Amino acid sequence: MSEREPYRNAIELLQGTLDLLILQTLLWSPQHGYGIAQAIRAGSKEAFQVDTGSLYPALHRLEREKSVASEWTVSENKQRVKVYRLTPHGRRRLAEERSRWNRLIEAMAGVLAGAGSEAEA
Amino acid sequence: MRIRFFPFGRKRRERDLDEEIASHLSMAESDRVEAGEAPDAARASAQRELGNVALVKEVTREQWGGAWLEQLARDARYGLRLLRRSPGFTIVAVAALALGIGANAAIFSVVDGVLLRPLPLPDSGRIVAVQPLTTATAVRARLAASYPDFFDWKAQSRSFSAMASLRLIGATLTGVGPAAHLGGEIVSSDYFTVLQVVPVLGRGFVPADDRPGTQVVVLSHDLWQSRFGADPAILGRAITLEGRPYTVIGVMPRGLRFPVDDKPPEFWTSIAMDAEGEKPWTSNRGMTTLDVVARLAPGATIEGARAEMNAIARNLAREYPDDDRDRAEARVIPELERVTGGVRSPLLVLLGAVGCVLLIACANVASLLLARGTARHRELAIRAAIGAGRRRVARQLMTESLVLSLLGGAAGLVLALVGTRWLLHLSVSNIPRLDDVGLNVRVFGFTLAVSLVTAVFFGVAPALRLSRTDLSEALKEGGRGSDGGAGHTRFRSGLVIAETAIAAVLLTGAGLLLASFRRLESVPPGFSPERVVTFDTSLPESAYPEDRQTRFYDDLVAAVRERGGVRSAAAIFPIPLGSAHVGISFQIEGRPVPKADEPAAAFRQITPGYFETLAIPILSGRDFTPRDDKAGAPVVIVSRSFAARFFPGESAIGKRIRPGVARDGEPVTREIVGVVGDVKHRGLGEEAEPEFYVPSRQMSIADMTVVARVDGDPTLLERDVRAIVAGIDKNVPVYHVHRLTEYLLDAVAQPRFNALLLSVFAGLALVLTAVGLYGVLAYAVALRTREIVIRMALGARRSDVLRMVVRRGLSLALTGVGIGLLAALLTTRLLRGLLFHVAPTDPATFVATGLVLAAVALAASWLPARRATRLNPMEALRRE
Repeated sequence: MSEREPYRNAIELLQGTLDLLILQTLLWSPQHGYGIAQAIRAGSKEAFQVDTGSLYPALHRLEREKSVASEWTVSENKQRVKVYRLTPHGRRRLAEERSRWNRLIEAMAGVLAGAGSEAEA
Repeated sequence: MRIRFFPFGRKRRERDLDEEIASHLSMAESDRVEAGEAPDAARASAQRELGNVALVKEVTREQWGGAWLEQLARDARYGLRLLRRSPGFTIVAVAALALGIGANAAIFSVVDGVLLRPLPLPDSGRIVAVQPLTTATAVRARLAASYPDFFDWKAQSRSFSAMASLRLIGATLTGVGPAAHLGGEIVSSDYFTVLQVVPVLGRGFVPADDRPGTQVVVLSHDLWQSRFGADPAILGRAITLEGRPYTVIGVMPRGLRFPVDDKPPEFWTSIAMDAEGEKPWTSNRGMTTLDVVARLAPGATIEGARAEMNAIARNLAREYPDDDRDRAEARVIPELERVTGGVRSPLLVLLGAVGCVLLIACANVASLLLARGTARHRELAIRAAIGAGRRRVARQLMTESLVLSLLGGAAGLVLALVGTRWLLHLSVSNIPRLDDVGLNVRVFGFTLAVSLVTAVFFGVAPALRLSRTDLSEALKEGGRGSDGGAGHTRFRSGLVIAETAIAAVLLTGAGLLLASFRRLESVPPGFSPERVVTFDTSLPESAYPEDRQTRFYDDLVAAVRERGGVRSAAAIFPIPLGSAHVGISFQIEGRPVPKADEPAAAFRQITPGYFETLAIPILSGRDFTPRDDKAGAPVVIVSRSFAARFFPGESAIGKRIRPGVARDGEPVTREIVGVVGDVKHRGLGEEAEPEFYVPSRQMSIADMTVVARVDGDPTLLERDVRAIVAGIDKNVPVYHVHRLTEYLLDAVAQPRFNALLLSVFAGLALVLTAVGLYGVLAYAVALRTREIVIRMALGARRSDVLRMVVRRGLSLALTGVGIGLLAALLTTRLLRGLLFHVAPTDPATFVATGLVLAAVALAASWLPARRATRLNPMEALRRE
């Protein structure tokens, strides 16, 4: 039972948001896959549980469309790790994804606000 | 830069991915250890969090560029594994495809070699044949040209960059080794310019070589090597042809063969040979002996050339009505079309037939795939459940089809290799260019393409149907999928009906050709060919003036007769069903007509005893005797159709005709002394034409065919003929030692070839259809096991069950037969040109086809039906 504890607050990731989260995470520094997963988890206060079965396909897809680039480096634990960094193309993608996300939030908020006032009445 | 090259880059990426996931795991593990978990528990929970490593890798891999290739390879491997697991299915499917694809590859290799491949000459598409057409009859028959016409064509036409005449001749080569009969051509000086072939040694012909008295010769590469040891000093040397010296001026490159439907010529000489004598052929407009070839000028079109030649022919017909009145048209066709015209339609019919066989094979395999797919229902449902989309499943099924098809194609190529050998072995000289046929890159390409298209044909429908699998339904139905199964069964029933229909069309076509062939073969040729040995000899004119020719053939026939076992012997020219034909016009005494209106008939020169030797009946009058010679009265014997056409209702004996031919001097009037039976000289399918025979003692000829009927083993005489001839004159060559039966076989070789092949293909179609029908019924019985055993438990008798299954099989087959016979009614007219005395809608053939297919369907239904009656109810229900 205790193993399931960390998942209790997990929210299922909205479809299409994983790319945005990855790009955002890479904005400040290059990072390996595990690090990205941890950063997203921490940044979302443990709400987002990134499934490796989605993370690596997403990373490889982003790499193929040249939004991120990768190289092998040695981590502080002296371990060979594959590190991803944002490319200029990735930066533009990030900006697009962010503005799309903001529009989504505004739209959602608008709809939810209307629904909320109705519920109050 | 990442190397995307498969498989090296691929391998590195695989390693990278492994390492990436491993590093992920170890980082997760050490984080957990730092957080205070025990090392074992940390590893376990890190792994649990990561999930199914193989799956993670799999979905990640799918993101890579070019992943479809990887997937294709994986699906193909998977497909191969599946095929290995069900060898029964695999063998049946691959065998069906191999038969279908192999038959196509074999026939395509023939079509490619005979019809499609260009002639082996530079820019050969612009080489055309120019032929006068007869305008005297409704059917425009091709005629030979005369030298004066040819000279006028050449001078007046503008559409050709070069035009040349050719005439095939035989000549005796003496002085180097034993006397040999050579095949050669008399060609005009532009000949090699038309072909665009240059000699490897010396020169070709120039206009000066055409002057009478010039005796020059160009040798073929083969002759130069075999007879002259490839001597480079051959140029300028004289060789002896027909007893006269000819100066060698050139040697042509190896393999030069034109026209390709004749034997490769061994020498070429100029038209000077035809320009000699008192009335040389080069100035005789009525003497039509030439083939004319030309090369289209740059920018000229074949239509333009045709129009121009027609205009020229019309003018010549006006200018020289005596000779050219009936030749007011000319035809210009590509040489390749001229060569292959006669075999194009039978070969295309065969190609259509093998296409049908392949369609049936496809229907069979599609049906098998559906049946198997129903059994794989559960596997496919599970694949769909773990996230494979419909497209993904369909793609995997298509890949499996592709694997099957390529296996079938590979096996088919082996079959084609064997099949093509067999074809070449079967066939005869009647199909031009057949020796060029073989498996080459184009045939490989064709086979590959056919295999791919085939995979689409038989794979798409099953892939679409099976990938539509509804997950919940599939699992609910306990994996059998009785509903989907029934739907598939309907589809498969449709396939069986289609197969049967196609098989019916093929069977009808084959039946018609077989009937036609049987009829053709049973046509009496007018003579009895059994145990008749024939051979040709050729006398050099220089050493053999007329009286010596007569004496030579007298001596030769007498020497042959003296041999033990020879019952009778004689000599003739031209031999029935041989390649030579001589038509001569004549005047009938008492009914004079202008020269252009003279009737013509086939003309033969014979020695006494010819009719007896070939068992041609003498209907009235008498045979020639040795006394019918120069000293005797001029006589002639005519055939029955000659007598019937020109002397209807009266006796031809005693009537007198004057054939327009003479060795020297004026033609003489001859009295008809006998009427003999008709002989199919031109071919068994042709009407017997009027003919007349003159005694060679009154009009001799240098080249004759000796015919001898023997009592015992013909090989004894065949072995001795060279010695017999050498005993008279060792400078006389002997060639074409054959039996008369071979001429007959040759005459029906092509119809036999067509009938045999179409029958083989129809047989294949029949077998495949039977297998298809059997498969569908067996499967339907398996699906309905529960229903059948319940019926039986409720009292249905075995005979009821038997009848139920057989009725279903027959109803499918008969529906197909009905559709097929209707389709055959529409398609067999394509065979019209190939049929002899059989209508394309011959009722007997159609009925026979229906019966054969019904019988086969009955047999194919019987086995599954019997199995249904033997079901053990308890066992069957338990298995359900």
